[in-house]
Amino acid sequence: MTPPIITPRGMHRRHFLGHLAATTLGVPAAYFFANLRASAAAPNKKKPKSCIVLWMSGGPSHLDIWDLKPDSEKNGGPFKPIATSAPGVMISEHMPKTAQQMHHLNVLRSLDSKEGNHERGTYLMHTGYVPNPTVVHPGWGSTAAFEIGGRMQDFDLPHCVSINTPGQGAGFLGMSYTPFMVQDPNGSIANLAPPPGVDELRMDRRLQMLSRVENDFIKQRGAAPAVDHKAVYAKTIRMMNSKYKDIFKLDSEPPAMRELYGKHSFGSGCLLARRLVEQGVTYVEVAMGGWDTHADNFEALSTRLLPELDQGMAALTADLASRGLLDSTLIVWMGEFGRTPRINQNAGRDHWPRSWSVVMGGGGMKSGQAIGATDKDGVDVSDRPIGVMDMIATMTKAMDIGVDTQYTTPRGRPMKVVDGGKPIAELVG
Amino acid sequence: MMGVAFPKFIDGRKVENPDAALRRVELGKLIVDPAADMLPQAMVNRTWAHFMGKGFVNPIDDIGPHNPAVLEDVFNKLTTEFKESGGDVKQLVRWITSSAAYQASSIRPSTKAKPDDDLFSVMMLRPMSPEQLFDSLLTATAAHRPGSGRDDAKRDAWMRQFLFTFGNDEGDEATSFQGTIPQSLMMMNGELMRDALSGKPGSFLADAIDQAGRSRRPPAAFMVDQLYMAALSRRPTNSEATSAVQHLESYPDALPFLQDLFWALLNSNEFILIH
Repeated sequence: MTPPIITPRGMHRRHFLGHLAATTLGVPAAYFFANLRASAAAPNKKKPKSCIVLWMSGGPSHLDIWDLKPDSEKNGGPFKPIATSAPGVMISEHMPKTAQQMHHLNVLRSLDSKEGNHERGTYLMHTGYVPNPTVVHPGWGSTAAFEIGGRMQDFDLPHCVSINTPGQGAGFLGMSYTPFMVQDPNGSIANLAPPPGVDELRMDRRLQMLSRVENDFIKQRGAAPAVDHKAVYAKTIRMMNSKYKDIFKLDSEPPAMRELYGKHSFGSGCLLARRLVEQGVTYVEVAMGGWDTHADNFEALSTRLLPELDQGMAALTADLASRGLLDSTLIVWMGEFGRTPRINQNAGRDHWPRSWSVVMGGGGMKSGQAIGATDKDGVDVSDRPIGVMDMIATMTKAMDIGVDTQYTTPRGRPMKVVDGGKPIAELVG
Repeated sequence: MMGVAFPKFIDGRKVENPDAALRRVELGKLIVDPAADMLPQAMVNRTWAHFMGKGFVNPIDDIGPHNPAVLEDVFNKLTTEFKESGGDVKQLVRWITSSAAYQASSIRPSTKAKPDDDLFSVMMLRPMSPEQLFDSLLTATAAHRPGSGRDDAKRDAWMRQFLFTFGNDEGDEATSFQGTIPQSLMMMNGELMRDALSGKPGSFLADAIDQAGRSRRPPAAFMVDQLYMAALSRRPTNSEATSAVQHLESYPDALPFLQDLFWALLNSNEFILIH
């Protein structure tokens, strides 16, 4: 099938073909049939897919969480593996709650991502691409938001939300797919309400006057920035007036639910993520910091990091499952890289992109598996190497987005969503 | 077979006497090589893009045979003249800013013209940088100097907030307006806008009302004029003026209406986009 492309104005080829097909003028047969197939493949009234990425900023120590090496004298560290609800899959003793949810998830233990610098690793894991000074790739979350959210009519919330972090930009996909940042999931969204004294009537009057100036300006110039400006304001105003604007206030959740997720910024972020995907937001990223454990790794993990992670991640997985949302919601746990098998003299671990773990499940994937493996000391991949693009391909397929999707950037550069990766058959085959 | 590998320039030339050469010095020589036009070309292209929103060659740092320039004659002429002037940047700025292209309006001469004209017959719209926007807001509204003098601490606090919300990655490919929802929320409902419209003594709105009382012109028309000039550097069109003046003349309390009108002007694309 012909890969969908977008034009510089952001029109999707599928939409474009729709218009062409309606006119029945000069449509090459191949395109026409491609379009028919695309419509036939569209699922009927099924809930569109969403994705929640749990982003471990700093580089999480995978060997102490998902891929323990108790038999390695030098690299093993003090933590013990425990059995989980997925037969044969063992994870850290400091993740007891998540262990009970592992039948919903999969551990991928053989990722080789090659980038050991925070900034570059962050870019790579978010976009699938190695940083390149001549081009900015859209974050995968923005691509998903564009492909899935972009087809929703009259949706009041942003399609792409980033909690506790600005997230990866949308590049040429534009502001509608740029992550909407929630700085503090326990707080409120800054400036969402008009100031005191500006009631609905006055706000209406303001918007009428604004619309007049904007429209005249567009009429005379017609240029993209002027039109885009109006579009951002329209989206903003829509959110201000939306019946969903209280979605960002967690107070309306039962106290027990808040306790379950934890009231720390990560747990609250997970709870907010669940509320957002429930309403149809396509991509939500929840960040948790503090993982750059060059010193006192085990102390930091066992006392601070893992209890928080375990609570939030387990609550989210269980909650999505019990609400029937897990089949339509892909969960991905990852950071910019793993940490060295070798334990340094400060009882820390350093940056390690060569053989590390990510976790994913939900979204209709198969589950309860450990895929790939590292050797006894955790140094080399010993089974089924996985590349970052394979991971991106897997996520793309799980979201029902064509893995052959390709765009043309405003400057005419072709850009593939998946470049050279293969979906992991054990998960989405 | 193993051997020592010596660095080569991207055009394939080899460094003479590689053992003794300092690589950075050699690179420096290559960059400023008078036989090549790379440096003047890059400077002309960047300066042009600074004033016009885009260069003869785009992306501006990707000059070469693989990426042809538009208006190549003009580009070459400017490059030659700039080189012959000995790299006189002030002169280059004078040439560019006195060109018909720089004087062009952003208004399309006819509906047939493409809105983003590659040949510079229409001025390209581009958003102000966060710093420009911030300073323009303060200049238009005098929000930072209610009462006596200016409040620099307040100004700095706003500036930090503002740059945090508006700060964006440099060098991304987008040439469109890159505003986000939090940015629009800040412009619509934020603290700076609230103070800018408060009408406190010393603020622009308070001054406009005050001056209108002493003006020889009808106060309503005077105030509307002031607002348009401050925000958009132009007078209102006839129809804009008529509706605003009518409204002001039929309601005794001018401030809320002026606040709303000023709000609309400051939030408009016409304010935020350089045109």
